[in-house]
Amino acid sequence: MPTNMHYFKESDLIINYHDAVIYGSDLKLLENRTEWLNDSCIHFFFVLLQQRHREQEQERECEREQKETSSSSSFLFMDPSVVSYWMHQCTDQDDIEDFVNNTNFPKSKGRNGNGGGGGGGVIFIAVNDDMTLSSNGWQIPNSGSHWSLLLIIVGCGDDNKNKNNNNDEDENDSEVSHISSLCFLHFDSIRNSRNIRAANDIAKKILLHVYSDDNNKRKRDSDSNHDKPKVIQVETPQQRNGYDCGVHVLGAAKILSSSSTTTSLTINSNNDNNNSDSMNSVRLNSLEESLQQGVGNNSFDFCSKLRDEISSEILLLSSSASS
Amino acid sequence: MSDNEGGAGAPEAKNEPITIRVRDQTGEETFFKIKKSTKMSKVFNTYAQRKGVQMSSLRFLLDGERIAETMTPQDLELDDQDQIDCMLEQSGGL
Repeated sequence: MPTNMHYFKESDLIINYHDAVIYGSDLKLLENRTEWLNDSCIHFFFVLLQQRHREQEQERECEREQKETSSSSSFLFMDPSVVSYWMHQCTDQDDIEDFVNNTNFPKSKGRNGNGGGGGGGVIFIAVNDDMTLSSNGWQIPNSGSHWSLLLIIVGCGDDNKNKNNNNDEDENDSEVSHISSLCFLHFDSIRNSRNIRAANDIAKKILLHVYSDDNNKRKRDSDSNHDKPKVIQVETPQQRNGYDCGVHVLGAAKILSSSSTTTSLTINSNNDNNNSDSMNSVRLNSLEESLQQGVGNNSFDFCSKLRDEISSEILLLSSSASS
Repeated sequence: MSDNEGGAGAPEAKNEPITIRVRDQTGEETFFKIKKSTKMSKVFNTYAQRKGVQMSSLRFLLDGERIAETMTPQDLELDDQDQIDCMLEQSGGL
């Protein structure tokens, strides 16, 4: 169905897909080529990616049972309004505990030997410049001016190898695996934008409260930068206009969560024996390459197509819900 | 819910109105008294009207999870004086 055949008022609730709600006013942002995207548009597509990932994992589940390979890796696409809550409203210890328990954060693997922990995974966060702790802008409706993507890879590096080498030194053993168990990658369609500050703040809070076990060990072992996770700036296709950053975030999330790239994110991390310092350059290069390939030479066209794709998905869901 | 059953003194507890608190981004709280079987959409709409904003610009969270407007306090296991958070639309393009 062509996208221009519908008529929705701005206040019409078009779909309610899982917990993503799209109103007429949100759809308009996707359809008008030069509009900025809001968190609802981003959350909707994140939910879609989450569903696709779930389906893929279910298919793989069958294969896995036959081959008895390692456990599944989980992806978490975070709702931007939830991230904003996490950064600005979730402050007391009870709130933080509830939040961490309610959210399906990937479990870091191998912390307690082979049996313990989860299979690792990837957290996708759409970063808004108003998510910095120092920001006051978030208190104003329609706040923020720039989106970028923060990827947190949980459980990269090879814990088992380190374990074998240091069987008798528990402390030491833990330190190595912890440093390698989380890494933070920032994809920004405007190089050197201020979003790195928000990305740093988010990374810091997640490290401190969600992966606090890892952090405590880190604190004990090297007090120099225990509460400062290293966020790596990844070479990212650049936007050539003043309105497509949100679409770039969604495009990057789509490409990075697609099956081929997933493989390089999670499988390689198991085999990466010789590098305990998070992501090695080879893996980073392959990520950058697949991103570059996925976006192509003309990022403007790529964004146009992605906007169309997302609008069509919304209309498709809305027509299937009403019929 | 079922944990509370058996107490002979509380036969009416099932649909007794409860007060829930909506906390906005400035920390201000708005109180709503509703039945446990009432859909949350009613709270959300009233709240938006009271604040003079579009429903489409508000997101409601319970412990950091989105609340679907078709849910009821019963579904959400909300108790008297429980708090939900209201977040505002965020935007970006540059």
